[in-house]
Amino acid sequence: MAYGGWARFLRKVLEPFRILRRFPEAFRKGKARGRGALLAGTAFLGGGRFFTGEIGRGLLLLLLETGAVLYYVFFGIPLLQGKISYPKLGLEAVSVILVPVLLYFYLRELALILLTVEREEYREPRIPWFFAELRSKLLGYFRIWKEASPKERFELASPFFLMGYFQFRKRAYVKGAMLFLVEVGFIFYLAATGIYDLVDFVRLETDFRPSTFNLVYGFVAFAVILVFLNIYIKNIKSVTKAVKGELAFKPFKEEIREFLDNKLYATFLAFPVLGVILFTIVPLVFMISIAFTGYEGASQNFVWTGFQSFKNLVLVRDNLYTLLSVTRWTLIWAFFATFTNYFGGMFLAMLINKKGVKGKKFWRTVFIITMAVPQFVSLLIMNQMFAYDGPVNQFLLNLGLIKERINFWGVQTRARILIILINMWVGIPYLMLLTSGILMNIPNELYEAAIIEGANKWQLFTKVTMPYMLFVTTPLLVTGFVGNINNFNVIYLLTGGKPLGVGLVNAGGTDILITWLYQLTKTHRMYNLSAAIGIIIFLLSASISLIIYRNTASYKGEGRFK
Amino acid sequence: MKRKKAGIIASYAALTVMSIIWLLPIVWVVLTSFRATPGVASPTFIPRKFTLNNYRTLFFPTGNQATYIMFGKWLWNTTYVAVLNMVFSTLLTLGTAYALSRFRFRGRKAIMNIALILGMFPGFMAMIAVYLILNMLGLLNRPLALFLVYSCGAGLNFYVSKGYFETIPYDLDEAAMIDGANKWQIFSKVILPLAKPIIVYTALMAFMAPWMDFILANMILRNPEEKTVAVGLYGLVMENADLFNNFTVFAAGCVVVAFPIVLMYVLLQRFIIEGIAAGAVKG
Repeated sequence: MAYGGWARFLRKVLEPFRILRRFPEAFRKGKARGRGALLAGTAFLGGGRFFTGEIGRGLLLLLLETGAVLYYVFFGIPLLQGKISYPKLGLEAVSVILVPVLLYFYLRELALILLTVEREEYREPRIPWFFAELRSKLLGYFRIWKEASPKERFELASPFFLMGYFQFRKRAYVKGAMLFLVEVGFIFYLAATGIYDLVDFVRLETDFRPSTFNLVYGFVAFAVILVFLNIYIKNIKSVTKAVKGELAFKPFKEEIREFLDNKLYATFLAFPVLGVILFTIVPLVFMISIAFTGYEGASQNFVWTGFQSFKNLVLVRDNLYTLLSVTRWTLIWAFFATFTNYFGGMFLAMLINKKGVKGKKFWRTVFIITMAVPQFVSLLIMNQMFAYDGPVNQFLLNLGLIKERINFWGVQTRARILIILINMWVGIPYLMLLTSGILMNIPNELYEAAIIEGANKWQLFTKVTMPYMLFVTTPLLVTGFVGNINNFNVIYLLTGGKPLGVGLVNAGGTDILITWLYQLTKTHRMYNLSAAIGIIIFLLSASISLIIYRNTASYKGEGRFK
Repeated sequence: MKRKKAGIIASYAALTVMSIIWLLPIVWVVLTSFRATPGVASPTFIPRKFTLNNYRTLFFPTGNQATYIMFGKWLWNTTYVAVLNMVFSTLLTLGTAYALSRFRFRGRKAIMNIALILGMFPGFMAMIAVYLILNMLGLLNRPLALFLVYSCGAGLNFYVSKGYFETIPYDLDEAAMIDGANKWQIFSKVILPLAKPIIVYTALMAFMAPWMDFILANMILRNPEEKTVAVGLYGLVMENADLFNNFTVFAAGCVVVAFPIVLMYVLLQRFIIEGIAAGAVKG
C-alpha cells in the first residue's frame, strides 16, 4: 500500500461507522424529507434513495436486497442448517462470508444517505419529471387549440384523422401524398394481418403455423405500430407548428437535398439501423421471449409459460449445480484469459520496443503472421497437436521426457490450464500490437521525474507504466473480459466442452456458459432453458461492465469535441 | 554498461524463444501439408517423405472424398461473400461512424448506448433466431445469407472509425463549410481522404470476416457445395469420421487459406497497427 499504507485504508473502511455516529443528530435536525430518507434507509437497503430522488438506484439496491433475501431463504439458511448440500461449490463458505459483506454494504449505503440528508443535496426524480414535461406539453397544445380560430381548429385536428391533408392544402404535394400513403398502408396492414398477428402472438399456439412464426410476426406487428406512431406524432407536431406559422413547408426537392446536408446522418444511419433491428435486435428480443415459453424439443408449437424455465434452472438441484459450477469456471476463464493476454502482450511489446533491440519490424512481423492465421485453423491445429497420439506427445516421447503419452484433453484441470495457455498463443500478438501504441504514448516526463526521484526499473513499471496503462485501457479490459465470457471459439474448437463433467447436466468440464448454451440448443434442443442462460450471461456481463465503468476515471466524458 | 548489454542479450533470447513457440505450430502445419504419410501423428517433426498429393486431393478429390471435399467451390463462395461484404460493410461502418462523430441529433446517445448494450449479449444467443428468420426468407444454405447478416451488423462496428474521425480536427469541416460545401461533400472530399488508414483497416476486417467466421456459417450452410472454407475445413477434421485420411488434406487447405491472409497482413501491417491503435484508445 502506497501513501500511508494500511492505516489510510482502514480509515477509509471505517469511515461509514464514523459518519453514522451523527445519525441521531441528523435525524433531529432533519426536515420531513430527510427524516423519511433516514427511516426508509434504515428499514431496507436502498429505501432512502426513494426520498433523495435517485429512484433508479433505489430500485437497483432493492433488487439486490430481494436477491440476497431470496438466496438466504432458499439456499443460505438451509445450507448452513445442513438440510441441503451442494458438494464442491463451497456455497457454505460463501453464505457465511456474504453476511458481513452485505451488512457492511447496508451500513455504507445508510452513511451515504446520511451525508445527502445533511447537505440536503436532493435530486429531482426523473420519472415524475418526465410526466411533468408531458403535462406541460399537453397543456401547451390545449392552449393553442383554445386560441385557434375555427378554420385553424379544423387544420389542427386534421392530422389526427387524415394524414397529409394539411400538406396538400399547403401545396406540399409529394410530402402530403407520402403521408397519406403511410396512413392508408398502415390501416390496410392492420386490417389484413396486423391485428391477427397480435392476437396470435398472445395465443402463441395456433394450428395453421408454428409458434415460432407467431412470435416473429408479432414482433413485426409491434415494430410497424411503433414506427407508425412515431411518424403520426411527428406529423401532428409539425402541423401544429405550421398552423402557428412557425414552420413553412419547403419544396420537396429542398427537403431531399437536406438529406445530403444537415440530415446526412439520417441517410447514413437508415440502413445500418434497419439492419441491426432486423438481424440483431429482433433475434435478441425473440430469444429473450423464448425464455418465457415452453419451446423445447422438436415441436415448434408451444405456449407462454412465464418464469418456468428460470425456475427450472434455479430450483432443480442438478441444473443449479451445473449453472453455478459452469459460471464459476466461466469467470475464472475470463479472468485468466483477459489478464494473461494483457500482461503477456505488454511484456512482448516492451521487449520489442526496448531501446537497443534491433529489427523491431522483423519481430513484429513474426507475431503478425501468427495473428493472420484464422483462429479456427490455429485452434483446430492446437487441438490436434495436443491429441493423445498427436505430435507433442510424440515429441516428448522421442526426447525421453515422458514414459507414456499424456492425456491432455481427458483430464479436466489439465484441459483447463491448457486452454488458457493456448489462448495466450492466440491472443498475445494482438495485444502486443494494441499495447505498444499506448506504451509509446506515455509521456516521457513521467519517467524522467521518477528517475530523478531515484526509482529503479521495477518501480518505474509499477509506479508509472502500470497506472498509466490501466487508466487508458480499462474500457479495453472490460470489453476483453466480456468478450472472453462469450468466447465461444476457443473453448468449442479446442475441446468442444470435453471431458465429461462430473455431476453436470449436459455440460462438459471445460464448458463455459456460452458453449453450454450451444450444447443445450444444438444437441438437446432445450431452447427455453438456453435462452434463460443467455439472459443470465447478459446480466453477468452487463453488471460487471457497469460496475467497472462507473468506478473508472477514463469513462468520464467522451473527450473533447467542438 | 555491461549490465545494459546483458539486458539486451536477455531480450533477444526471450524474443527468439517466443518466436519459436509462436511459429512452431505454423511450421508444423506447413510441413504436414507436404507429408506423404496420412494421419495426425508422425514419428518425426520433419516428414521423411514429401509430396504434393494433399494439395491435389484438395482441389481434385477422387473416390469417396469427392463427395464431401469441394474446396474450389468453398474458395469461390468465401471470396465472393468476402468481396461483397468488404464493399458494403465498409460503406455502412464508415457512414455510421461519421454520422455519430460529426452530428449531434436526438437519439444519438441512445443509439450509442444501445450499441454498447447489444455488444454484451452473447452473439450466439441470437443466432437461433437469425436461423429462423433466414428460413422464413428462404435464404438457408446460401452463402449470400452470410453477406446479408454481416452487412446488417456492420453498423455496430463503428467504434474504431468513430475514434479515428474524432482525431481529424473540426476546423477542416468548418473551413469547407465556409467554402460552401454541404455535409456530404465534407464527408467525401475532406474526411475520407484523410481517413485512408482506417478505411483500409475497416475494409480488411470486413474482407476477413467470412474467412474467419465459423459459428454462424456452420449453422446456415449445411450442403457440401455451399460451405465457406472455414466450415468446410472444420467438417474435414471434426465431423467426418475419416480423420486419418483427411488430416494432411486439411493441413493443405489451411495453408491455402492462410497464405493470402498472412500476405495481406504483412503487406498492410501499417494500417492494421494504426487501426488497432485507434480502437485501443476509444475501447
